[in-house]
Amino acid sequence: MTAGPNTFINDIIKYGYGRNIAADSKISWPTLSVEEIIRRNPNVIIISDMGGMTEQAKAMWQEERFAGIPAVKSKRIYVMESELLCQPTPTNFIKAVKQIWKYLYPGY
Amino acid sequence: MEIPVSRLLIIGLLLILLIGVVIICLGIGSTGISYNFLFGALGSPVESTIIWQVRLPRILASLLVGVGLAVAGSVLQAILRNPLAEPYTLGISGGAALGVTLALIAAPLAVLNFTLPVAAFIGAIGSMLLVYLVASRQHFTVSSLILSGVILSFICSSLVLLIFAVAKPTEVQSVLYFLMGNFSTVDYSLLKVIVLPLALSVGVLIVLGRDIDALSLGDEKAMHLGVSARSMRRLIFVITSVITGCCVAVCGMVGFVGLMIPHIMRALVGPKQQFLIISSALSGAVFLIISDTLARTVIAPTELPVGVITGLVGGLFFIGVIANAKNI
Repeated sequence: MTAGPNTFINDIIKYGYGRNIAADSKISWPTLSVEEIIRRNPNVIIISDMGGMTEQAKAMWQEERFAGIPAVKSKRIYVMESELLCQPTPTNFIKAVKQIWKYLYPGY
Repeated sequence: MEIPVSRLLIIGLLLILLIGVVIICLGIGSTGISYNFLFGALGSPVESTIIWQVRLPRILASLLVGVGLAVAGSVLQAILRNPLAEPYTLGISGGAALGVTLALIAAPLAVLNFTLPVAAFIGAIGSMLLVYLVASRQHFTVSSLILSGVILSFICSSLVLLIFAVAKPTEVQSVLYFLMGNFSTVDYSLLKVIVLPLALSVGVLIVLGRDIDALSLGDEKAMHLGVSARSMRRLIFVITSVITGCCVAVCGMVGFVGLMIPHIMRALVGPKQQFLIISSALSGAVFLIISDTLARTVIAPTELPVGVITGLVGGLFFIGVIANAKNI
């Protein structure tokens, strides 16, 4: 499941000066196919899940076959704590924006 | 042995159809890619990743599973002399799904590719054994088999729900999606594990085709033809459990392929198993590849589990079979 438009996660990405690959979706929480994610060619992949499956998802993207995707090539696949990203209290929201900004612009 | 030309023609046509469907479906998806890739011309690395690393493994997986389920259905219908038999209705898929659920929740990530088919096989053979024991007491009557199969499916799904109730909620969602029948995360490594047992099983069944024919005449006639009904039936149950286990490990529960395809093929090539197995294998592959292509494109960029498509098409077909069957 991906955070699409009209979601707080989309807002967090926006405030972190990022561009969400699912922002043009018709529904708020689309399940994008693998093919669709590859086509949208993400520079960074951020995985967050309230539980165990994050490492599994990360391992899948790190497979050799996806090496053509910029995010995979430059090793910018991040697992973000769900407490931070998925529970938008005012303080968490700010922290999540900062964290995403750090992922997106590591040089600053 | 004289081989009728028309059957060979049908098998040849099916083979051409399968190759055509594979090529056409490689080009279909939420991303528009021109068919130039056939001539080695790929526009960008993105397109080549999508074609060779995402679509091709999915199509190969649907092909293998389509072959497996259709062949298993065809053989089970013959040896049980039951038009409604297939891995799904006999509860073999249900047992395999229970095995996979246990493995997914209990097994460590690293060994998953090998544990999944094995766990699925253990579940399949276990439920097959139960159905066999119950139905053999009723001399394998049509209703006793299907009833015990359906009830076993219920028991297995109750056990799956029990596991869900005590497992972490986050694990439940991914297992649930897997069990609905879906090819979205298939990669080559799992395909490599299942291709050999699957091909061997189907090969053995084709070789045994004439014995299966004898068995489909009834136990007594089979014995007169030199086939021991009991041991042959057991052997075939084991082989179909291997096939079902492999299929469920790849994509979860995909229902009704094994029911529908052999019925259609029997109308086309007749009940002789050697032809029926080969033609069911080819058309099962065609059917599942088309179903999966539909599943990943009808509501793109989001995708459906393929089990939804086969369940809808096959379920309606199943009702048609029951409505038209004269003496079940």
